[in-house]
Order: sequence, then C-alpha cells, then structure tokens
Amino acid sequence: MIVVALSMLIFTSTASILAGLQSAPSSFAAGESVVISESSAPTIFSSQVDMDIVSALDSWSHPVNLSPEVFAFSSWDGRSFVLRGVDLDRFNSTGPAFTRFAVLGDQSPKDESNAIIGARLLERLRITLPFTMSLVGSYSDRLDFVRIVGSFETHTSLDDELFVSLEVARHLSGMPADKASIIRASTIYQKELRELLSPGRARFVLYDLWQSKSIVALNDSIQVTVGLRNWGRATGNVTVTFSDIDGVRDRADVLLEGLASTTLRRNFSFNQPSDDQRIQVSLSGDFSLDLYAFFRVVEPFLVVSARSVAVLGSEIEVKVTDFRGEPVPNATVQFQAKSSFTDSSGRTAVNATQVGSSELTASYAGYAQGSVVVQVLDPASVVQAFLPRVSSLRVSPSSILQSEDAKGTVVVVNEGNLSGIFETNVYVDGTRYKTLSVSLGPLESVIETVFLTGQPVGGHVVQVGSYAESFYVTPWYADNSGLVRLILRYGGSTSVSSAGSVPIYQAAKISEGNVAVTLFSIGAISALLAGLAITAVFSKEVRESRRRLGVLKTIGAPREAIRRIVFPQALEAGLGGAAVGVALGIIIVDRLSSSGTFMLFGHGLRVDIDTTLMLLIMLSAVLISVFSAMASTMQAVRETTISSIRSLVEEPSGQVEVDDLLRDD
Amino acid sequence: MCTMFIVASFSVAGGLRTSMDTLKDNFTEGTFLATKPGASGPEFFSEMSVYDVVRNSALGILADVVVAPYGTQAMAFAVSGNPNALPEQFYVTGTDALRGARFTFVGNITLQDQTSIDVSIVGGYSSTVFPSNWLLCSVGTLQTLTGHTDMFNFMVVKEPSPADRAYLEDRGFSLQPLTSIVEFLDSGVREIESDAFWVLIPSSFVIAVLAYAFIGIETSDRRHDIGIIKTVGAGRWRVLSYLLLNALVISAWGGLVGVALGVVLSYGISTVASSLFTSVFVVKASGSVILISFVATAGAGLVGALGPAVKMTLTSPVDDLKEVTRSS
Repeated sequence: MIVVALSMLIFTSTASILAGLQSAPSSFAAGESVVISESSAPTIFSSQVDMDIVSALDSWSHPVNLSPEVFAFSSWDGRSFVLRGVDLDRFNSTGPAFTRFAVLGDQSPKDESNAIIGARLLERLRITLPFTMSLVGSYSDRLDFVRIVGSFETHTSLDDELFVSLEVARHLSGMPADKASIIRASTIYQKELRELLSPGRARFVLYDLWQSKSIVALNDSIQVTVGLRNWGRATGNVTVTFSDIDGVRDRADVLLEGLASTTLRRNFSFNQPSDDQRIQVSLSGDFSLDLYAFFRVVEPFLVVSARSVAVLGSEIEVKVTDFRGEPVPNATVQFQAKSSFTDSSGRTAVNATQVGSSELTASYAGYAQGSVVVQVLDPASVVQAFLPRVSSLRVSPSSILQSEDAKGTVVVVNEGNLSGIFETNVYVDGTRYKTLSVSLGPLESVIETVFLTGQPVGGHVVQVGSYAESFYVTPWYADNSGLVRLILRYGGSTSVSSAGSVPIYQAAKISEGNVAVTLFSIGAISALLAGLAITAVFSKEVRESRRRLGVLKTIGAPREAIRRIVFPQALEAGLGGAAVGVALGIIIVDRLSSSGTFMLFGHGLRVDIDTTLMLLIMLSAVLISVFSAMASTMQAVRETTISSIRSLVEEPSGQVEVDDLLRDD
Repeated sequence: MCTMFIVASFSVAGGLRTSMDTLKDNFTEGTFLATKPGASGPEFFSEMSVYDVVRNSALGILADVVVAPYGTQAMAFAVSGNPNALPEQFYVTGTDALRGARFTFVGNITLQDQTSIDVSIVGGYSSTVFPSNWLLCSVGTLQTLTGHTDMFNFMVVKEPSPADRAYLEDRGFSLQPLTSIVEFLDSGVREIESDAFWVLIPSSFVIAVLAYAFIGIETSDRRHDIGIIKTVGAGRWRVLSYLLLNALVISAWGGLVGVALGVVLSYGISTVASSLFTSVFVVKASGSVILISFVATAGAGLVGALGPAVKMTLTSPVDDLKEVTRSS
C-alpha cells in the first residue's frame, strides 16, 4: 500500500505539473480575459497590435473592457523577470483584481516613472520599498530607471511581474508609441469579439467606395469602384449588387481567399437629369452592408465668374468653368456686343464700353450657356476712396466625397478709386475657416480660390461677406463607421486567444498543439509507469503468496475463488494507496506551486487543481489501481497447482488470507 | 520504460534549448550598465579610479528632480567619460539643459533636489538608449543638485573584458547587459531544464521499485543456489556483489533499450506533432541526456535491489538449502 501511495503521489504531482505547464500561457492573459495579439508575430513579446483597436472597440456595440499592455523584460541582480507596461485604470477594469495593493506615502503608481511590483517578485528580488531600479532594454541597448513605490498581489502569475507605465515598457522594448504587445479584453461577448477580429470562416466587408464624379452630365459615364475584403481565415464567395434609384443595375459574384482583398469596378451612365441619383453597392449575408455613391445627373452647363461692377473703359477679368468647376478653354465670352475666347485656364478679359447693366455670357458647344450681369459705371460717379467688397461666391462641386476637396471661388472688387488691402474671412458652418488678404488697385477685381478640405460628412455652409453657398460631403462608407474601419484595418490581422492559449510557446517555435501532444504523451507515460510500479509490487506479493494459493488449489479452490480473494485485496490496497497518494500529491504540488519551485519564462508555474483536473487525476488513479489489481489477479489465477504447492513447506503458518479463505469455504 | 520517459522529457527540454540558442544568435550582449546596489537603489560611488582601469566606459548621474515652475517630477541625467561607450554623443555645459522629446519645457526652469539650481533649456536631445522623458544636464549641475561632488551613480561599460568585469564586481558593482533578451532566454531555458530534472524523481522511483520487486523474486527463486554458494565459503560481500551485479546488468540492459526507445519516441513525438501542426517542433537527445538517463536507470536499479540483496546476505545457509525442493 505504501508503494501504491508513493506511486500515486508521484503520478498526481507529475500530472498536476504537466497541467500547470499546459496552462502556463495563461500567465500572460492573467485570468479570464481574452487576449488580442498580432497573428503574424512569432512571439507574444514581438506582437504589436494597434492602439486604435482600443478606441474602435470602445465604441463597439457590445460592452468590453480593454487593457492594452506592453511586454518587456529586464534583470536585476542576475534575476530575469517580465515587465508589463499597463494603464492602471484600464487594467483595473479588466482585472484580475488586486487582493492586496499597497503604495508608499503619497506616491502615485500612475506616475510615468513609478512602478509597482508583484508580491512574489518582490520576495524573489529581496528588495525593500521604495526602491529605484535600473532597467535595461529587451532587444537593444536601452536603459531606464523607475521608482518602485508599491506592491500588489493578485494570486495569479502577475505576482511575478513588475508593472511599469506603458511609456517605460515601450522604451525598453522598442515598441512604437501607437502600439501595444497585447490587448486584454474582458467581456461576456468573447465569441462575438473573436468573430469580429479573427473569424474562422469567410466574412466579407465592403469599403472605400469611390466615384469618379460628383456631378455627371447626361449620357456621360461615371465609374464606381469599391473594395471587397474577406476578413475571415477561410475561402468563400459572395454576391455584390450595384443598384440605382430605379433598381438593380449589375451584380458581381466574387470568390475570395481568406484575408484577401479585391477591387470591383463598374461604369454607369444616365439619360435623365436627377439631383439625387445614387449607386448603392450592397453586400448580403449576416454582415450586410450598403454603401452609397451620391451624385447629380445634369445637362452640362457653364459657370461664369466676373466682377459685378466695372468702370467704363476698364478691363473685366472673366473665368469660365464647367459644372464641375473645371476650366473650359476656347469658350466664347460675349459682352456688350464683343466676343473673346478663353485660354487654357478658362480665363479671358473683356472691355466695358457702355455705361449700364449688361449681361456677360459664355457659351461652348454641348453646354448650356452661363451668364452674369455686370454694371458699368461712369468714371465721374466713382468715389475717391478704397471701397472693397465681395461681389460673388461659388462653391463647386456642390457634392464631394469625404476624401475630396471642394473649391470656393470668391470674387472681390474695389468700387473706389484708391488702392488698398482688403481682408475678409471665409466661414464654414459659422466658424472662421480662412482669412483672405487681397491687394486691390482702383476699380480692380480679383478672383480668389479657397480649397475646402477635411470637412466632415454632412451639409456645410460657406460664407464670405454677404454671400453664402452650401455643399455636401458624402461618406465613403455607409454607416457603423467604427466597426467597418475596425474590420478593414484589423480583421484577420490579430489573434484572439483564450486565457489558456496565448502563443507564448511560439517563442520556442512550437505551437500550442505541439505542446499539448508532448505533455499528453509525457502524462500518459507517467500513468503507465505508476501502473507498472504498482503491478510489479502486487506481482511480487502474489509470487510470495503462491504457496498459500497452492494450498487453496490443492483443496479444490476454483480459479473464480482465487480471483475473489486476490482481486479485492489488491483493489483495496490499490484504492487505499491511491487515495493517500493523490491527497499527498495535491498537498505537495500546492506547496511546490506556491513556493515558486517551478518557473517558466519569468513566471512561477502555478498549478491550479480545478475540479476537472481533480476528477481526471482521481479517475486515472482508480483506473491504474484497478488495472494493476486485475493484472495481479490474472497472474495469481494462472499459477498452476504444482508450481504453487512447491512452496508449501516454507510457507509460514497463520496467514490471515488462508485462514479467511478456509473459513469462507 | 522509465529510461525512455527520462530521455523523452530531457529531449523536449533540449529541443527548447536549441530553439532558444537559435533565437539568441540574433542578439548581442555587448554593453553593460554598472551600478552599485544599495538598500533603496543604485548608490553614488566615488571610485573615479574605476574609469582609469575600465577605459571603455561612461560615467553617469541620475537624479529625481522637481521641475519648477511646472511642478512636475522628472529624471535628470548627465554623462561623461569615454564618448565611444555610448552609441550617441551628448554635450551640454554649464547650466544649459536639453529636454527629451516628450517634454515641453522651454526657457529657464529650476531643478530641485537636495538644492535648487536654475538651468536653461537650450534644445532637445535624441537618444535610443535613454528615455525621451528625461532632462540632460551637465555633470556639474547634477553633482551640485544631488550634493554629491565628484560622485556618480551609474556607469555604461562597452564590451568589458573578463578582467574589467572581475574588477567591477570585486568593488561591489552589479552589471546588467543593456540588452536583456539573451539573459532572459537563458534564464527561461534554465528554468525548463530545472523543471525537467524533476522527471528523474518519479522515473528513478519506479525503476527502484521494479528492481526491488524483480530482485526480490529473483532471490526467492534462486535461494537454494545462493545457499550452496554460501556453504562453499562465499562471504556476505560476495553474495551481495553477485546480486547487485545481477541487478546492475538488468538495469543497464533496460537502460540501453530505454535510451533507444526514448530517442525513437522523442523523434516520434516531434514528427507527429510537426505533421499535425504547422510549426516544426525540434527535440534534441544529446549525449549528456542519454548519459544522465542511463546513469539514473542503473543507479535506481542498484538502489532498488539493495533491500532484497542485503536481506539475502543475512539469511542462514541452512535455511537457504531447504529451498532445494522448490528450486530444483
């Protein structure tokens, strides 16, 4: 029974420690969180995930607490340990909870140069707080010093780490400022998070819808391109539909490999004018998405920009553009019965030859005529002063994509006879956007162009002087922008791992599966050895008792009777020993686990003997005992009567088993 | 079986060591940070003579200061000595100071530590070694601030010779490589190898139990023969050595077969695991692993056989000879 107990003790210890090795990666996940790491990174230490994931997931529809963390390692006094750069506020939201947290005096652990140390590391390094510690770079020559101002305890592997600020960890590991090693996520929506960031099946998203024009002339073509990405890890196909306001115009069936992207291009033309025409690009399925390209379909027309007031005999500068704001060369400009042609930049000049209001027109084949009214003044009526004013404002095109710029054309005129500098503000949505400073001569007019860039999606009003014009910025994506951006940038690029499967083992170029196979093999051999040891001892006892068995057989005991005697005795010894061995093994493992005897990459190997592991060990112990007892019984049963009876002379009398058997019979 | 278990376990650890060594080859451990550990961190030292011996080094001072009028805490540092010890050159004199990229201090500021001193921010420094949230001052400024004239509290030593290292360590300096991955990987593998040694305990125990059982049966079966040997004059030591030699031969044969099976099993696990999963899992059954496994097997076999063998030496030859009926 002692041998059985010892065998089971060793088996329990081995199995528990192997289980601890298997779950060692959870050291880096620290608890029930899931870990988002870079899928292509060879090790968790070299993983770099974008901090934008944090802001994108912050606006996710499912509640999730996130803690971006940066890993580095350093050493002190010849002992290596893991540094974890954390944002303590975010760390507290994901856990694990501090069971003990002590900070010295009024020091803030959130100060960039301050640090807090895990209880077991504090014990291992044998330092007294407060302590200024020199830290060194992980992969290249770097150094830093931190003030360790407090300690903590979580009863997880984090107790073997030093918590520093994200900035210190980034400096030591050489991590860029907008990256983190991992993001720990605490949420009940783990499945949804995994589906979002790292789906195993094909999943599609549409993005970057681009249209070649915002205003389309009748029967002219507009090109629409849209990006399609499979952000899942498996190949799949999908149908993309292109529709306008009258119905479906085209369909595309696309087969895409996992994590691949493609661009779809289509050309459309329209024969009816419309102010709210659109192309809708749709993706069906469980992640349905509609992107819209809005535009106007118009008859082509010309736009004329010129001063509205001129003095008799002066030259009037004219600019002719088409409906999209593009200059029109060789357009015919007519004013007061005289004509001229625009140059390559769409500009020309005409003379004011008659006092009074006259229409200035521009024409070009295929375009509707554009016009503007110019008032020609008698020089005698012109005031001897500097009289600047804004005489016109146009914004074209009136509808742009978010990535495009609109152009504002401002005409400023001096209606007086003196020169000067005129300053006027351009407002967008009531906020000053730009100040124009224009130098004007007597009765001079100047055309200024303002590029309206970076405006958010929606309608906007541009105001200069007493003129106001509106334009509209359309989005390149339909809705749920944060989610689409998240998928486009990070879908498939990250791994979402459960607590027990963070790819730390990749540090040794081996995968989680390799480790599982290896540990299982070693565990199975360990069980086999325990069984072997027990069987050997039982066999020895059976062999030593064969003379007694010989007596029994001589007096007519059948094999079944022998089996009934030996098996319960062996089973009793086996199970009794197993119970004692398992109990002692668990106690020893617990002590070894808490003492930090077993280490793995800077973390004490923690063996959490949970219910499943406990049941597995007990089941294995019972099976080993039963099989060993059965093997011994079979050996006893097979002993022949003759070979057993040879030992009769030497058999000491008074054996309980024999007496018991005789009484039974 | 037990030897196979030992070989397989150590081969896994050996494989990890090989992988780690491959990773380590990408890094160098050339420059070291030397500090004198005290009760609350690096202490100031005045051994200027150290620099005279360890020439390829730069001496530095680091101070935790309060920056007025901003009222913030910051680390201020100064370096002097051999400029080749550091990959970057730093020059600042008098009461000038350079700020790290993450500071926005401008103009004149006051640094407060043991005393106060006014310094002028005259620009910024850029460094891969030092953090970007420190202030670079002159050595004189920091020695005045800290009140430690002619003293330093850290030293950067480039490629120290074994004599340099010994010289520094003899004077109480602690050396940290400025790149820690080599030490970290070494430490990680040492931990795994240390864990693997625990495999020896269950394996040796089982081997000993098996030897105990086997030699127990063997002595029981051959008791008559042993009685004859004793009768013709063999002493106890002779009988003991005969039985132990018997156990050693059996253990050694078992060990040899186990080593062979262990190597096969290791590469079997490696092949199966590598074919099942995408990564390549290398195991390495080195000569030392085979030797340790073999010695552990033979040793445990001897220890296990010791009990029944000693017991047999203590029995009477007359009692042994009575076994004639059974063994003949």
